[in-house]
Amino acid sequence: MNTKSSSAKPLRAEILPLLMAIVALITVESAQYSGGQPRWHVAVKVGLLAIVMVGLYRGCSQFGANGLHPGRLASPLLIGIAVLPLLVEVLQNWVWQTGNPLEVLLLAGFRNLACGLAVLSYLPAYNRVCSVISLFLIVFASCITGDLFVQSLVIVYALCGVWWLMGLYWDSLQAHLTGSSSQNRFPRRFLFTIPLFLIVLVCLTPLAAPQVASALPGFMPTSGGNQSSDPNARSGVNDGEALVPATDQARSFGPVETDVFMESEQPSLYDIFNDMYGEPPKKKNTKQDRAIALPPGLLQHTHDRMAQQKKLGQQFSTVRSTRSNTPKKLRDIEGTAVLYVGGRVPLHLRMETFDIFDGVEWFPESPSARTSGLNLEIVGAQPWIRIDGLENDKVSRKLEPHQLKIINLRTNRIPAPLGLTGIHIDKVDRVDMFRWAQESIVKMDRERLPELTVIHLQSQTADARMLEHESIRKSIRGPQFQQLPSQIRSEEIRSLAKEWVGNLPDGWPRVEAILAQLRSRYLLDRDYRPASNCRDTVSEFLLESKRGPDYVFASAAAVLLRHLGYSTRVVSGFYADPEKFDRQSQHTPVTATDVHFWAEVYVGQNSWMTVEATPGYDVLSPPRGIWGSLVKAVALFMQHLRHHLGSYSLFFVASVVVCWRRIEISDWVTTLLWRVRPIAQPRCYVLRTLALVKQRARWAGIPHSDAHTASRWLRELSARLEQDNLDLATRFSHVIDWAAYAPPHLETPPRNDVPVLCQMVAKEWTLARLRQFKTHP
Amino acid sequence: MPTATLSPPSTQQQDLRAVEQVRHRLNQVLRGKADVIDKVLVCLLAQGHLLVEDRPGLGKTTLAKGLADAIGGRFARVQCTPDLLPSDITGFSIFNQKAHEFEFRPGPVFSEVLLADEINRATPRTQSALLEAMAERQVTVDSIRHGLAEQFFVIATQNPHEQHGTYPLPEAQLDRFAMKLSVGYPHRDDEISMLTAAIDDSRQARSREPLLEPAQLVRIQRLVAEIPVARPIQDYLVRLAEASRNHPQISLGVSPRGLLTWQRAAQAQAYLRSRGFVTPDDVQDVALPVLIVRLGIERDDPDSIIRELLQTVAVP
Repeated sequence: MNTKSSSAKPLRAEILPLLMAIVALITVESAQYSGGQPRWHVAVKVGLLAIVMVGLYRGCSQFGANGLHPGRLASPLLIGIAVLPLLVEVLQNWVWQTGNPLEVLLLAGFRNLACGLAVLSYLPAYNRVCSVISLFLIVFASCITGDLFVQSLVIVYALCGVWWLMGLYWDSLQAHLTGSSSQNRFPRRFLFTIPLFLIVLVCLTPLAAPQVASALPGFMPTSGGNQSSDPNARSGVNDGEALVPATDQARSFGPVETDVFMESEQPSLYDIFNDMYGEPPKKKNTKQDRAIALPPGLLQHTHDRMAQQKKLGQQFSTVRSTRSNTPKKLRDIEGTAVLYVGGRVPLHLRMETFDIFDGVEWFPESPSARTSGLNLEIVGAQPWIRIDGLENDKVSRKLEPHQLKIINLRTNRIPAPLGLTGIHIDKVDRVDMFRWAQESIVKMDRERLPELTVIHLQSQTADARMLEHESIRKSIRGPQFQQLPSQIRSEEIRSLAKEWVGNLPDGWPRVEAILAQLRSRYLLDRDYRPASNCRDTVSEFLLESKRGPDYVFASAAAVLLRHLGYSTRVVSGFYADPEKFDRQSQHTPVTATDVHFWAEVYVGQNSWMTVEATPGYDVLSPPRGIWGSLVKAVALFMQHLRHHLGSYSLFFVASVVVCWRRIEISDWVTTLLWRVRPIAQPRCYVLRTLALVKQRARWAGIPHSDAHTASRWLRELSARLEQDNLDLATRFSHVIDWAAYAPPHLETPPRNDVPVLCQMVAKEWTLARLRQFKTHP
Repeated sequence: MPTATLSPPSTQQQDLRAVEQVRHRLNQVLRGKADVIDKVLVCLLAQGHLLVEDRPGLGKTTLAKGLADAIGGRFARVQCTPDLLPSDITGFSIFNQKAHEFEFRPGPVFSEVLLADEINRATPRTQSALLEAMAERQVTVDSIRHGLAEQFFVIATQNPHEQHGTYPLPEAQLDRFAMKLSVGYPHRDDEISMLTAAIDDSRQARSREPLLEPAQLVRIQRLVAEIPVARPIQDYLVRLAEASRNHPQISLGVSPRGLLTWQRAAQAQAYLRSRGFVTPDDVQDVALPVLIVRLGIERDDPDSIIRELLQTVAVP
């Protein structure tokens, strides 16, 4: 740390750039907020950063009042924090293979620079630069968003800026009147070095990678147009990997809200099912007639409904042929999202529900006869279709928002989570555009969902914990949801179910027990298929093969629970896998391979609960608050700790040892560095030795005060012990004075071999010896 | 080739030896006050003037006379009273009837060592007569300038406890002094030694042989002025001066003239330690007597303020 005199400045000129930098920080973070995480995360982050800034500002200004200024250390520190995001980006690319757009990194660099300058803004030299950088941030942030909160922050910043400029004006006026002028201005050398640096940079650019040169005209790398592509770019004209809102002529799909619609030749949902699970074998009509144990009149009803549902309303057989090795159409869209899900995952997106099971095939639930229950509500000038009659106080908690970004899904059914309460599609403000597909599934009154459409959904996430002490068995829904096929081995399955639930109380614990057994004892094997003549797939799965694809798990769970008296149904749809969550775009792509089957159990009051029997699949839990997040984080950390107990134990023991002997270790390292560095000029060697002794004395608890000269301090220190040390101190103090203050042309003090003397000092005044000095009065 | 210590040719060694002899002689004259004598020598070699503030009978005059004897110059003493006139110090012109012209009769300032006893009893008019002599080593009488000896050295005394009929020295005059010292009572052992020495002195006359020739003193003073001061030390001095100007309990900080005096005193201190360059120790060692004479300190214990000042500024 260099020492300079402090100059008192009026409080307003010092504190305002700090305030302006904090406002700029809040503005930038608010402008960058994309909704992927709770707002309180951003608030906590910005709050902590602001507290740290204010604390550092106060600390530094107090040090400054005592004449201690960062001096030459400031510039490297500021540059360091400015380029820190770029370094972290390199690390992030290397470790996690994720990245951020360059403009975001540059913005983060400027933000860091503004924070650092704000901490040092008590010095006039950094005061104005800080304001300029924060102004840039404000302008940038206000350009990238039109958010009302951001605009109000811009007004706050403008007010602070005007006040600060007034203060500057009065200061300069006062300086002119009194004939004094500020001495600590922005270093003039930068006025020459910065333009020079930029000129050199531009001149050297053609020598660098061609992408750099081609990207320079636009200053930012693009995702195309110049034969280069940056996977992290957020804008451009080519078909980069980033998701770009189309404005005029869209050439790629993107899960963004836009007015541009496109034709697509991608396969429909049922093409996806068949490619995923294989096609059902052709059946004889006689077998089908026998297999279905339906209530009188229901079979015909089912056929009617299938005719209405067009392609989507097909029945689903649990006996399927082996999947072809060469998928037909999916090759083109493999790895391409069918839709994107914004919001928390995992998420079960329901497309169709099945209630009747004949041992082989599930038949879709009856089409809804409901004509009401869909109402239009305008929320903030946005049309929302409200869905009534799905609230259940026992299972519902907070409303959960999700966004679906349809890419190439050929259906008019809206994939939605259980407990759907609201739908919003931009500019769609007519209720008659929506119809009931099934009792709990909404469709659009058109051939298919418009592609490249953003659908906002609002649903109530079910909380299973609230059901633990409730009896849901009494919540009878209807006979078709408790229907059991006649040809299955009911007694064995019932005894199996009873064996699994044991003496558990009736209600949700029994459901959990069944799910736990299925998830732990049975193997998910997507390629396993029972014999084509198998007429009881559930028994075959539960009692014989104990393996199978997800629809067999769902069927088994539904059948087992029906044997225990619960109303269940099987649901098909999509599963938004949290492992596929894209941190960069804050979305989860749902691909053709994410089609999934699961079961639902009736919990009363017209409400169902998702039950997931397939291993590796999870159900979305209700949103956690701050406390819940903390508990979850601690639990995850403890789990991680248990898995790596050996490594952490070793690390802990090593840390304890290092902490316990940290001073000795630091002394050893410092002495080693002192020894291995080559002996340069004698003066440097003396000063390095003095620094070593000072460091040891600091560790020994007898630090050297800045107000004392080193030579006097050494003499006073060594005077506490024997004469030999005093002589050594006297000789060394003479050498120190010579090294530090003698003119360059003065030779070494006579009778003092500097290297030998320094080595004697380092050898004699060890850490242990200096600790003895401390104990002597 | 120059070295870190002052060990050049024999001339400089002789000079150093002579200064050491002066120091020894003064220690004989004023026993048990080695630190005071060191400061007196610093003041002498720095070509400054000395203000001694203490009670009567503590050896102020003895010290001044001993110094005058040692450096081989003329010694003059002025007992300052309210009726003392400027011409009593500077000298005056009288008409020589034989030669039909005015003759200048030099006053006591035309000596090498001038003791102005109880200077604060003189009127401001008389005090100001000393200003020109102390600052410029010359006096102007009847519009004619008369140069003083190059090694002209003023030791002024004042009694702090007598306030009646005194005229406190103005800041402008105080700034002309390089240092202010207090002799103080000697230690018990030193007083016994002094009593014993008084008996010995009565048996054998004390030597009053000069130890330094005037030209030799001038040479040493010039050598002191040439001792290099590193840039960090000068920066340290300036920071100390700034700290004194910004200190809340100091109404008058160090002036640029005071800063020059301080640097010269530090050079003299380095010379007395036989060192060819100045260190922060030298600056700190002479800080108290240099600052106490010129700082406007509003508290009764100026020493502690000056020590506090030294503690607040980091050493380079």
